[in-house]
Amino acid sequence: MKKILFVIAAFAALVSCKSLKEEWEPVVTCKYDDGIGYEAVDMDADVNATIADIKALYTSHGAPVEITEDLIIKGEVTSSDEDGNVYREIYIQDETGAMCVKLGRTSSYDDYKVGMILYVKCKGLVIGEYGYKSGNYGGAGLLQLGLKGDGWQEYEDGFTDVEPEYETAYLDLQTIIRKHVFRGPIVIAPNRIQPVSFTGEQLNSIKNDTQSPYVSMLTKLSGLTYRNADYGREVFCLFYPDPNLNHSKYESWNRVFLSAPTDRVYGEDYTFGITTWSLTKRRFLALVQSGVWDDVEIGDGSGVIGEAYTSYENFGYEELYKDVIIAHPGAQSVSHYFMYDGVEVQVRTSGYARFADVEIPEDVRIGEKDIDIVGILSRYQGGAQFTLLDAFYAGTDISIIK
Amino acid sequence: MTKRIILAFAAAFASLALFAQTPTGGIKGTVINRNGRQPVENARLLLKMGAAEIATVTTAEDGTFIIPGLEDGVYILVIEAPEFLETQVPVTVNDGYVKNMFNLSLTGIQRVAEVDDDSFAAFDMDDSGFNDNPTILFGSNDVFNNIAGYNFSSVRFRARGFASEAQEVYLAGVKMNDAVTGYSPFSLWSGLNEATRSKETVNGAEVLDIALGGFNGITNVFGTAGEMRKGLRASVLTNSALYRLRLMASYATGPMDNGWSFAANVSARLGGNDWIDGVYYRSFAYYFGADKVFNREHTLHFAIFGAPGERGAQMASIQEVYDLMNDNMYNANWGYQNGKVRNSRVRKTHEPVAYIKYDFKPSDKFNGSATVLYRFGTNGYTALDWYNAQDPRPDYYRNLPSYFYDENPDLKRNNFAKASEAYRSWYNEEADIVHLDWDRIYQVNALSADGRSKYVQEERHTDQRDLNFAFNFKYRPATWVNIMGGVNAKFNRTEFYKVIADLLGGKYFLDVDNFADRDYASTPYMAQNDLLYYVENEGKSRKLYVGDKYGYDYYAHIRNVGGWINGEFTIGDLAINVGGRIGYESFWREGLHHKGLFPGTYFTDPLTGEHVKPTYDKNGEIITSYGDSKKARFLTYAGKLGINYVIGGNMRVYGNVGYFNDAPNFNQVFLSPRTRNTMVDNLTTSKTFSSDINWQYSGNGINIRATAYYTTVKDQSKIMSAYDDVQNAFSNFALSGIDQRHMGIEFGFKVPTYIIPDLSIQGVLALGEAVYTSTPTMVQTLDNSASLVSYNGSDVMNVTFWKYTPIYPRDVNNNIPEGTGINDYVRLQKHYIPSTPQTAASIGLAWNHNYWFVDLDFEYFDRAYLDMNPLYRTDYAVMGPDYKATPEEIEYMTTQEKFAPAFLLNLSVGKSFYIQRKYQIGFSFNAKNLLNNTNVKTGGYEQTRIVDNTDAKSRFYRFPAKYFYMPGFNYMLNVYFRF
Repeated sequence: MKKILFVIAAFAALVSCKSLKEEWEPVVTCKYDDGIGYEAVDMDADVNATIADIKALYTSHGAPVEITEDLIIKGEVTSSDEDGNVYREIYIQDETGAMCVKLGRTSSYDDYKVGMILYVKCKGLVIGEYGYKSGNYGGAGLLQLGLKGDGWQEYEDGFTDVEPEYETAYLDLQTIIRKHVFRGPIVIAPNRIQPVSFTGEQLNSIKNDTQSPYVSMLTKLSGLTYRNADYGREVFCLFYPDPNLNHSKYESWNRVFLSAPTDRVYGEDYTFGITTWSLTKRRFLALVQSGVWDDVEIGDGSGVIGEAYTSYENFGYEELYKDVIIAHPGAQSVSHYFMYDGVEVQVRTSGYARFADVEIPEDVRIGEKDIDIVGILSRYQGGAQFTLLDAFYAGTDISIIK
Repeated sequence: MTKRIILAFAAAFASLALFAQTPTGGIKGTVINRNGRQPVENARLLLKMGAAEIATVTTAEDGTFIIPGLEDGVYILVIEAPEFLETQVPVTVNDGYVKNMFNLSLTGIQRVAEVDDDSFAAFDMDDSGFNDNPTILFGSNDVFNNIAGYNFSSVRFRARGFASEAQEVYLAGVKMNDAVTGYSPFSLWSGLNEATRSKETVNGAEVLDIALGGFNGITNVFGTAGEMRKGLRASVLTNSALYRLRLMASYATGPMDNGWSFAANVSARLGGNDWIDGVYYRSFAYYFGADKVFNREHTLHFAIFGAPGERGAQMASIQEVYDLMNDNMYNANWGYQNGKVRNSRVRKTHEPVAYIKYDFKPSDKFNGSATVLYRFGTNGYTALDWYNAQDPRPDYYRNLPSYFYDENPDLKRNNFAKASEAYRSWYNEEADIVHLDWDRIYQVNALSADGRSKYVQEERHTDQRDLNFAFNFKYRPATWVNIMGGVNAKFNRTEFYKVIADLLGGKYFLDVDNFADRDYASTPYMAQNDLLYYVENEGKSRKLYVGDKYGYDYYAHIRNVGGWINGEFTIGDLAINVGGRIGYESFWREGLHHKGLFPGTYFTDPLTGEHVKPTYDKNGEIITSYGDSKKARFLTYAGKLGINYVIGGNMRVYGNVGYFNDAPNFNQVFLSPRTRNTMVDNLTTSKTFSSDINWQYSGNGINIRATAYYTTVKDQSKIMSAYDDVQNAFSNFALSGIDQRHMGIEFGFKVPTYIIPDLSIQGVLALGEAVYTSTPTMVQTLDNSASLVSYNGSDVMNVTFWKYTPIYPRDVNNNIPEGTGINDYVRLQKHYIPSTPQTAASIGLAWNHNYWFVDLDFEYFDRAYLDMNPLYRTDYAVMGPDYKATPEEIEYMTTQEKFAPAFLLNLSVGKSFYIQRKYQIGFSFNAKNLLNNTNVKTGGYEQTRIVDNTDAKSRFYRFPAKYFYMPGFNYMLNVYFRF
């Protein structure tokens, strides 16, 4: 009997104990030591290219370029998504220019702080363009560093299948990010990159200069006046009455443009009651319910929000457009138009920005006061588009968004 | 030696005295099985007076016995029988009469293995609103429960498909089911197997002496010092599925000459296991009890016990993750911190229970007991919390290959390169990808400006103060009638709150609502969890440090009182019982914070100087987060009728019917209790009709029970919570009008083979159909919004496909033919009560000889189904964004997943030795799942999330479901020593 007991005990011990320590202390149950803090890397010796070098690789609209050489750039982080006005992207800048990196992570400011030096191993990444439009009313878009666009597939026989909607894709995955993006030291505040000011002429120059060094830079523009080039007040906001349904340009029955019409009237107000930087879901709902948009035309011109019935064939139900919109409220991005040194600047703000619901001061909106803005200079179809990081009454340090 | 001589003289003197006169007193009665009331043959009765053994007899075939020739005096009658717990009964012989003790009932023992709360892994349901609390079947001497209780526990079998809260569990006469959730309370005494071993159990709608009960059986744990087996017991147990080591010791004095009994039980459960990383125990338990028998009329019991400790939890994952890890036991809750495993989700509890029970027996016809019981302490559960930061869970859907690539073009997931990279990192099990990345969490906090933690570990508390009173009596006015009854009352105040458990390297955290802060960033007061603090501190959010309460803090107040009575009438072999109960229950919420979203009254925003206006509900009433809610009040009642007919002593036929009108539980009533006082509209009681008929045979080594049951439950309600992608907010789904029907058979048997001595064949079959039978309604609210979520213009949605899925015809390619309309279905597929097999069977061999036992059982489980979420069964979900339902969409969205059938093989071996008839040493070895089947799903749930970002914008897709799996081969070895 003793033998049997011994055998059973020995069996249990053998099966149980891969490693005594691991098995008997599978987890620490007392207080843990604090984890590893931030550890910066130093790859200065490996840097062999500048942001301008990377931008220069993009030479033809519609032809994203995969970087095949071992190019490593270095830049300082100038943007933060903490306020929600930058989404899944990060901007870095060196002495030759600035670049948008499509990181693909939300709340990336937790890991990538303003002032942090980033080293980007570019091999395997793609430089592409977003927002290019040909023709007189178009222009260059924003150059971005990311992965091959979604939909790009390479097969073993070498055949490639490229139907990407965008020229570049987000890095998204932590494993991909850590192969390409390395975090260096954090520059202390006084020594960080300061916003650059441009003249109107310089802003105009970016229209067709695809590799413009100004685009993506941390910028400060001073003395902006709230009006468009037609001397009116204007916003641009595109929303979809039922966002769950298709709403491409081919489904114009499901699109509403809050913007100045092509037959705009000189000096007219085209702000549609929007007095905030953009529209949170709550603000959007309040405005549509207030009736201020009742006379706005549906995208296909079939009627106006306050009166027209939706098409049963398109929507699957028959209701007033207004009721459809109220049933599907959502946060909306809004562009406000300002004039700066004779150039029209579009300040575009996300509906998810923390300052989305902050009022643009009335004295600014009626033109009594000008403002200074700090943010990232972007570009869409040749036009200067500004991603706001902060705004002030002109000549002061009184923030009007925080 | 001196003692022996004195004893010898005393015995001789006593003998002489006996010769001097012939006493006429005596004791007689019948020993019966507490379960089934059948007589117990060959039970050994030892009569003692003090330490002296006076007489020994055994019971006859009909369980009767008589001990004649006794002097007047107080004796202790010790009753022993194989398969039963030893019982001691004080008995007084008066005036030379033969005392008739009528029925002396014995409680059966379960020899194979102990099933308790430890037998089930702690499943982490992650705020899903689903629950997976198992029902624990105790063996007693019921052949079905004895086999099913152990063998079916590995698949979390629920008897008759009933939820755990339907199983009524009593301790010392007090109902112990959780006041807030109704869940069975076994975790309170987890690890105290010796102290709680003595218990009695009935099934279905049967009645016990201490309660009328419900429709899913009653378990009464005695828990008194006198009920613990006398002597010292110690055991060492190792277990490969849950923890490495259990040490347990107990000591009970038994009734002493001075009328006192003392008992103590302590245990420790430590370590991890072979199967699930991150799951561990560091749990202890203690029990101390004392009884004082003042005289035959008055006995006082006191006990206090608790089970302090921690237990790492297991999280369900989707099948893609299990496949990537090639491990169905993958647990996403843990990661490495400084090279050591750390589980983010740990249950930390210490809820002591203390009670005083007073038994009095003024006559042989009446006995009663009164108990005051108090439960207190803390019940915490840690989890990660974060503010404006990435979801840290490794199996978050955006980290998986399927998020980047899917063959279905409608899903627009077409980046094969990223999918390949994600696959590669999972396949290679890169530690910071496939497990929680604690290092990154600490780095983020270290980088955060001003030391504000972006990630913290919270500890959610559900701390109960539960005061109970129960009085029960039994009155026997005549030999053919027993009247039992009682009254009870419960005063419960449960505080729900959370505290900062660990700042994870940061210096402080802020008490703001993450979702509200995102949605109402320009009005910061709305994001405050403690608006009063914000107002009184000039617009500053409260800074939080370790141990500070935050987020939410409210009381659940629960009061109920009730009474019951049951008459048991015996006419020859026929016994009839009829009884009823009535009760009154009320509960309400008391918020302890003003939440910024629902301030309830006027405040002045310190930043703007403007009035903060209250928010209103659809009826125009102010929504409050602070103070008392309205009170929900319910009148509850139930009635039962049972008939029991004994045939020939060993066989009986019995049946029960009952009707129950029960209040919902607190957790089924409040729409979003963490944020506001709002209750579900049209609250009502659930109505249950239950019936069963049974045949049982017990004798000559044969045990058989066959049961047929039929139960309907109507008007149940349920609240579920989940993140809603369509609304981009944390959401609550309140379901009302859930009806169920449970019917089926139970069959259990154990019979000798008659070929090989001591070898029996045993088996059970549970074949049931537990289905949903109604179309409930659903109301959806968001935590950060006052208004109800409206679908197609309506706030109240019918969950149209809750009870069935229409099945449509198929062509040769298994596609639904074009032109098939939504009403052209060929049949309606029922939806089943989930997470328990509706077919469960076991067949095996049991060999018992010379204190050896060997059990080998083969089991089969089938027709287990996944827990359904209601959102997928609404017209909204099946129609999709184009508001057009198709047969394909209906089938896809509403089908309930059926788990694959499972085969298992279990082996149990045990042996005990007696040394000098004084010491007992033994072992039991239980090997489960010898076939090492690691593909058996034991539960899970559908995520309440919809994929709406499609190319065609014509339909919705499901998020993949999450599952729990059963461990493969595992064993438990228990070595014990008793004397």
